[in-house]
Amino acid sequence: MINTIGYVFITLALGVSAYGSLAAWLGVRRNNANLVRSAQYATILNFVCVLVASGFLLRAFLADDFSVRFVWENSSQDLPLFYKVTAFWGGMDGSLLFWDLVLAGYSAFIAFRYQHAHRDILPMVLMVLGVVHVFLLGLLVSYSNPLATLVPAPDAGRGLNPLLQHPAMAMHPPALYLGYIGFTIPFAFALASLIQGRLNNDWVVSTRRWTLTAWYFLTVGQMLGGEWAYEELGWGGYWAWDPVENAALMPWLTGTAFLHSIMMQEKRNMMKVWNMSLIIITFGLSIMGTFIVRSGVLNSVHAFAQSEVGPVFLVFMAVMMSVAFVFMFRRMALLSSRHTADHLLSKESTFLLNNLLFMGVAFTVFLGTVFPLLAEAIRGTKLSIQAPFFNTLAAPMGTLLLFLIGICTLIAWRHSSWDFLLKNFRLPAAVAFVAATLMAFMGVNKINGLLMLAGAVFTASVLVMDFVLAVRVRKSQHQTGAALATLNTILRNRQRYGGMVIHLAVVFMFVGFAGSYFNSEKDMTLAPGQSGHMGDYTLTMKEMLEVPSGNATLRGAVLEVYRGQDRLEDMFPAHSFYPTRPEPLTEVALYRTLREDLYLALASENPDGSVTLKVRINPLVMWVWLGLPLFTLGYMLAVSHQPKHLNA
Amino acid sequence: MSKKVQIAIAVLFVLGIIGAIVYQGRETTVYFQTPAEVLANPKAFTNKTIRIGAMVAPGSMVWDAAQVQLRFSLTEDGKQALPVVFSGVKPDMFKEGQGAVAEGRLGEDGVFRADQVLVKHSEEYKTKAKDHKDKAEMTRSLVK
Repeated sequence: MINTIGYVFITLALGVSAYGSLAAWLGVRRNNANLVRSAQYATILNFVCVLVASGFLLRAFLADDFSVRFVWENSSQDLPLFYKVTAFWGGMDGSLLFWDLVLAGYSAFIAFRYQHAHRDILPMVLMVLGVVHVFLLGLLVSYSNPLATLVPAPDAGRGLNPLLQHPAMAMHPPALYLGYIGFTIPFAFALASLIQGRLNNDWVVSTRRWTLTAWYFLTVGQMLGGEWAYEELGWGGYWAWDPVENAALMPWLTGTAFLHSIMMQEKRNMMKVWNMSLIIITFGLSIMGTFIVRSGVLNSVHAFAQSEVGPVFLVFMAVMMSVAFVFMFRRMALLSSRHTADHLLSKESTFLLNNLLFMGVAFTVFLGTVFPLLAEAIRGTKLSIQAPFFNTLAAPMGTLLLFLIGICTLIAWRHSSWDFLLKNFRLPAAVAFVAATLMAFMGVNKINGLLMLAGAVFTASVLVMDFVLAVRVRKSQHQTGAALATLNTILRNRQRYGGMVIHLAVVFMFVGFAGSYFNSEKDMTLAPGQSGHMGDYTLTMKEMLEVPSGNATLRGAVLEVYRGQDRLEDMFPAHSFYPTRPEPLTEVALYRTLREDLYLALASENPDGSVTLKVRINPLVMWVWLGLPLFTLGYMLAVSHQPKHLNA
Repeated sequence: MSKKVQIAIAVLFVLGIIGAIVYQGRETTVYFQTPAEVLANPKAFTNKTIRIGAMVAPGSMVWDAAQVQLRFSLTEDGKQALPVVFSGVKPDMFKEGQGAVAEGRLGEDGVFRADQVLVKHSEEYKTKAKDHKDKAEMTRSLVK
């Protein structure tokens, strides 16, 4: 009964957003301010309805109301409170509701925040957002009602998949959703500008922070996913070019390209058609990501629950993208830009190259992901495209991008001279060369890894050099102390230095990626008292141990670990057994340092009392995760910058 | 720099990427085969990386912990079975009577040497009793 009320609110929200969309459209057509006003209020009402409906679902989780099918599927009485809350997005129905909730909040905010600054396009923005709402709410009302009930109500829930009971995994889906949802906002502004034919740079300037936010969350979402895979899946890595991973990576790549190319429009009034296309593609790929994840068309280790909504997403994506592109071609004349890159040695060129590389990687990932599907549909052959394909293509492009960060930082707009470049790049290039030579002598013998590390040193030294120079200039101009000058340099140009910190994060991550070329792995079987060696490490099996942990029981081997002569803390690779699940899960034991991770996964416990372990040494992995706090800092700096010419 | 030169550079670049993709695609694409296909014509598959998606034959699994070696057979119909040896640890949830994918090469001796063994584990932990109604169907879903 009570859950039916929640469902009624979802239905109400559907009606309200359909009305809002229509009212906004008619308001513009008939030039009727009252209709537009009512569309604005509809966004608030829509948000309230979705919020109430979400409240009902949350209540069902907290009250262990297993008469709600979605709660029964994803929760159980013994689940810790934190995971009862995060189980909200543990399956598709709740995820969609969460998605719509966030979008509804954004819509209501936009409806009033931009009512003066964007009086001309706002109604159409609301119209576009309304259409997305109608789509999502339509799914929630029909295919995937999160408040659907079971009669009779089961006594106990099936429990949240234990694999998902991990802090990183609890936050990974909402972060990705915030990314996908976020790209809806610049898309809506872009489409509204196209429909209205108001094609100045306003939509780019005022959605810059929305784009940045979407991009940040998509980044975080993927990093959390990688961290989770690394700790929880036990195969030893954090990225496998799995279709579901690729699905999240593609909008990230095009979104990153967009984030860079809109600077060209902002600063040089260039690439308008390109930017339009990029945001349309990014939005489309965000929707396709959901389609790939939910439809199960692609062979994936993630193996999500399959459902009929997959094709619906594909149709929605096709319709939205077609409409947007049709409008773009109709407005082509308004999108022409007078400027081009004047000279090969210019900042413009590096931006163009940056975009080509990002699109190159995106295209590679796209083909590698959908080609097996096409081959099967057309020729009936089953084939598989695995990590080597993606690695051999994406790694060189990625390394080029890494060098490009450094080059782009120092090169000037419009025109640079060779003399200028030689003068500025002498020091970073020398530092990178010396570092690479040293590393080569120290045994860094894989060319790909070495190039990545050289790129990281080069770009890091450019970034540091550039910053030090800026501080020094400020110090002499303002006669202030070093600390104050440093602080002011950053705060006076938050957009630039936010970007710089983010680029530093990228450098850190590439150091981690380079490390993966030097991973080593060995499987060993150890009886109690027996020792095994791997690199500098000596592992001695002490005993088997069984300990309770949360709602599970851990059973694993206690190992005494030495690195050289130093005794480290004992390690405990184990299996965890959950009462609701038949199969044990791997619980990895990790010893992490900046230099390398020692990674132990328990493969099997053998009848003779010995255990078989998968032992890995993964150099430099920590650097990948160190990127995360830097991304956050850089994002906060960049997003706090208010666009000047449009105080909106 | 004229617009034409810019476009020429961009086009060359794009063609380069496409060329690299096609080349790499041919080098790294791995085809799925069934055990029956391989057993019918082993010569065609020797020393070529392929993937076998099928069911682990009941009673065929031998786990040698000391050597860290897993031996099993893959079958679709329970009659024709392809012997597989994998020098590595048993993946979680790897079981007889369940689906698995082995990637590797067929040796001259007719034994398939896997570099990788994958198990498709479902997020849905429904009771499996009814899911096995059609083994061929299950195998098909697995290689998809």
